Amino acid sequence: MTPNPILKVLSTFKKHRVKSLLIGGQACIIYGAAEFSRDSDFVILCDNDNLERLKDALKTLKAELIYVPPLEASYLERGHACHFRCKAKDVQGLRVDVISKLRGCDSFDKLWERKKTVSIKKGGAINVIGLKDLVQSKKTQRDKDWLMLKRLVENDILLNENNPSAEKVKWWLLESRDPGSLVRLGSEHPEILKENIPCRPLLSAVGGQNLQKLGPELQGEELIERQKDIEYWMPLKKELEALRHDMRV
Amino acid sequence: MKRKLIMKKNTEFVDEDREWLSITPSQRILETTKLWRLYLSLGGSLDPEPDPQSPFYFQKT
Repeated sequence: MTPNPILKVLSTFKKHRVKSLLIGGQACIIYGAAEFSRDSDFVILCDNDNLERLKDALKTLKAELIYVPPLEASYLERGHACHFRCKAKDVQGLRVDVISKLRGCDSFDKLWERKKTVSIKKGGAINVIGLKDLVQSKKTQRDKDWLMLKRLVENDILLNENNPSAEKVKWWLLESRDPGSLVRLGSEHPEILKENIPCRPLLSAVGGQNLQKLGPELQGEELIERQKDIEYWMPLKKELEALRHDMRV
Repeated sequence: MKRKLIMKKNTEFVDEDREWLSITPSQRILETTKLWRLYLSLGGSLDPEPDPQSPFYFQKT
């Protein structure tokens, strides 16, 4: 087996010209998250040509569909993910999940415009979802995604805290989930803070350095997003259950 | 207040975090490759950890 099966999947996708962006845990590692993720997740362009190229790449990886739904544009366009397990020698057992829509995120074309490209020795270039879009994609019903989201933003603050652009500060104020960071940013950039209170009402508590109020308000924001995610997946899960039922009959 | 918060900010990241952040994304990929090598040599599984909060979890039951 090659040392890094994820790179093998990426090089296979590249060889077959699959238009895709790395998302999920592997993308988080690239943005500085200290975790060891054992699967690979991609958002893909959902058009017939790209799906054909993806099928060819999956064939090379000997990737077999492990759950419903089948890899078809109609399912991907509705927001479903398709799940595969590789059987080829260098990637045996590796999970590859593909999706074409991420809840709360822009269309693939917009994600592609904002992608990050990372060059690696002997491995060419890797196309990764942009940081802002990755953070947006982490607003799910899962605890671990919220922990990761917080860390991704804090990493970005730490990496860029010396002379950040106004745009950066705005994004941090809109996305940080750390009360201490929000209060510090607010005191250092009061004008940007004030301008963005209409976009994120809890920033009014930041201005007053009201940490006691900030905690519950951050929690409230999270609960709303979690509920949206649950509601988004509810009809899709029902559809999957029906598909599974049909397969058994 | 500010000084205290700056200290807090600094203590939220342990040295290993800072070291990991100080390298480039491509170096992180290479370091992860070393981890993969070790993980697989120890017989590590490629099955993702079960995640009961995932919308796809029910499919695995």
